[in-house]
Amino acid sequence: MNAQSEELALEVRNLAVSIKTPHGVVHPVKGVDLTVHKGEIVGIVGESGCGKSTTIKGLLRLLPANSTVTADKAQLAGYGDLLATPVRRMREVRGAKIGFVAQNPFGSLNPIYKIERQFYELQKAHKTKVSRKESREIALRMLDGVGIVNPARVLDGYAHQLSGGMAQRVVIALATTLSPQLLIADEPTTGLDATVQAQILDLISGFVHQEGRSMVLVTHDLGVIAQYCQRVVVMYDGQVVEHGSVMDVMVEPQHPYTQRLIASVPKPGEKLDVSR
Amino acid sequence: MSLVEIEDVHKVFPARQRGGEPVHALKGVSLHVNEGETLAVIGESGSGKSTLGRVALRLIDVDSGAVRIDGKDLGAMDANTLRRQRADMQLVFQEPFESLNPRMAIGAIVAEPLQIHQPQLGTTEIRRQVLSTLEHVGLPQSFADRLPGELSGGQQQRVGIARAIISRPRFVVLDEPTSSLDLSIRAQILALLAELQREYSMAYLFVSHDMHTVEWVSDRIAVMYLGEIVETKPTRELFDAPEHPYTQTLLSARLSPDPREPHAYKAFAGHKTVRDAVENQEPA
Ligand SMILES: Nc1ncnc2c1ncn2[C@@H]1O[C@H](COP(=O)(O)OP(=O)(O)OP(=O)(O)O)[C@@H](O)[C@H]1O
Ligand SMILES: Nc1ncnc2c1ncn2[C@@H]1O[C@H](COP(=O)(O)OP(=O)(O)OP(=O)(O)O)[C@@H](O)[C@H]1O
Ligand SMILES: [Mg+2]
Ligand SMILES: [Mg+2]
Repeated sequence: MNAQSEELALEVRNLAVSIKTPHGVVHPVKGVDLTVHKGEIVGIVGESGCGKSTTIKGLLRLLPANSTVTADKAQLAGYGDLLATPVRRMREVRGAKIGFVAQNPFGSLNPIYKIERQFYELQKAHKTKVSRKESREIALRMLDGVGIVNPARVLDGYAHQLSGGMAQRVVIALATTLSPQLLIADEPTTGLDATVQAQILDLISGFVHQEGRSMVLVTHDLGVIAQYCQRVVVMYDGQVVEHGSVMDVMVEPQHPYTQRLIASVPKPGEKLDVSR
Repeated sequence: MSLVEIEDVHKVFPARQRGGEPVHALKGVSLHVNEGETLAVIGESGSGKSTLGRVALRLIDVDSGAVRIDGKDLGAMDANTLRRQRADMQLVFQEPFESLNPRMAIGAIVAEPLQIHQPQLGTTEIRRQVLSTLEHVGLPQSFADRLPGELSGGQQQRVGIARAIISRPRFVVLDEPTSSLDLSIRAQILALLAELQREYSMAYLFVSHDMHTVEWVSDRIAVMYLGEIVETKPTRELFDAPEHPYTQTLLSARLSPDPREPHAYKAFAGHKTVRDAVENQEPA
């Protein structure tokens, strides 16, 4: 936690999302606050369907046109208010200022471009000049960093030739290529075994803590929260029900949902009880 | 005789272009799954687990080796016989959204196996079973009319599970079926799967990266590494005495959910990758 400070990286107040559907308007996010300091990793946990992905996509302006996002504040340090930015200008923010790893990695890879081209397009869009050759070298280095054993083969292939965990790692490599100050990752390691997961989280932790960057990490894995995050936000039904240091929240959870969550961690050696 | 038998299967994905390398995804894999049993498959990302799952259901062809269900060779079946055989075999895909038709309502997606294999049930009965299966996986009945894009990742995953279990197949490949679920819903789904298994003697091939889940649900565990199964053991035995260096590395990399117990695991103890760590260490 070398570079963790009181300096804010992201400050979100009262973020709400509503979506118009054929069955009426739904409100998946109802006033979420999120504070991220420089040099820290903030974890978000919560029940499946409680609004974690919608919160993030709302902030990044990635929700479809039938949705409305409001907030009192959504301030990205060194930039300005994210919600005051026109949607078309968000392309410049995503990638360069905020790296995003979506929950479905295949959804953020272009199925008809080789992986190499996706690294090239990303760099070309944000830098004045990058040659194909430079771009390929950078991509090889990024893929090697996330534990891809044969990066050249991956670069010369297409998304559908990747395993689930390989696709996740390609997306993580893409999201960090431009060294964004903030990384937002939605369940980035679900397809990785514990060894590769540790390699990648060690890498990202180094990136965050040593260089004063920040990360928001959505995960269902309480081991990841306990071992890699400094603070945690617990969501339930579109709202934040508890937040604080990982030590406080995980050791002495206050909200009934958090208590239930922590109580359902399987104990080593336990067999599934189907008697219910 | 085991319900499912896989014998010495090889699968190579050919190189797509000149100069490219083919990928030898399965290098002589053998395993069996008994009725009413859960065989877990764990292993490195890219080691061939999903390929194995697709091979076990003959969704892709093998280069050599055999896959048998009930002693019958899936590779020797004609299209019609295979189609009928499919009534007994289902897959929960690793990538939920990629496996759901974005233009089909959830209700229609879940109904599909029944419509194909048990059309005699009739629309009313099929609808009734769809709604009750949705409820069993913790989704409100109103979701039947929604599209996949209107669901969260974990909700999509549960639609995939509902589709796989609705026809009570004898064999299900579950590829990371609970990776997007929080612990309390995960426990609920695993209990449901266990209940169905007990009632209908279903056989599961359960691919997972989550060692807690694997320990919880499986009878035996097969460990894959670089396209091969490097050890297969009853669950308790594998946890107590892992033999292959990869398995040992894997077990030592588990993260404690208690922040007061910082994890001692340093990624691969000075080795750059897990491969180096495994290769520079002799089997115990
Ligand atoms: N387009 C939409 N129309 C209607 N409801 C929606 C739509 N998109 C999302 N929802 C609902 O909003 C809620 C929040 O979804 P979200 O994807 O944010 O959940 P999540 O916390 O990320 O869950 P998971 O852990 O399962 O990924 C869910 O109940 C979902 O069904
Ligand atoms: N259609 C394909 N064409 C070419 N290569 C493929 C194809 N499908 C899989 N592969 C390759 O086969 C290998 C095994 O992939 P598979 O998806 O079976 O791995 P996995 O063990 O399921 O990994 P993960 O845990 O990351 O999901 C990988 O190297 C992958 O790139
Ligand atoms: Mg989500
Ligand atoms: Mg897989």
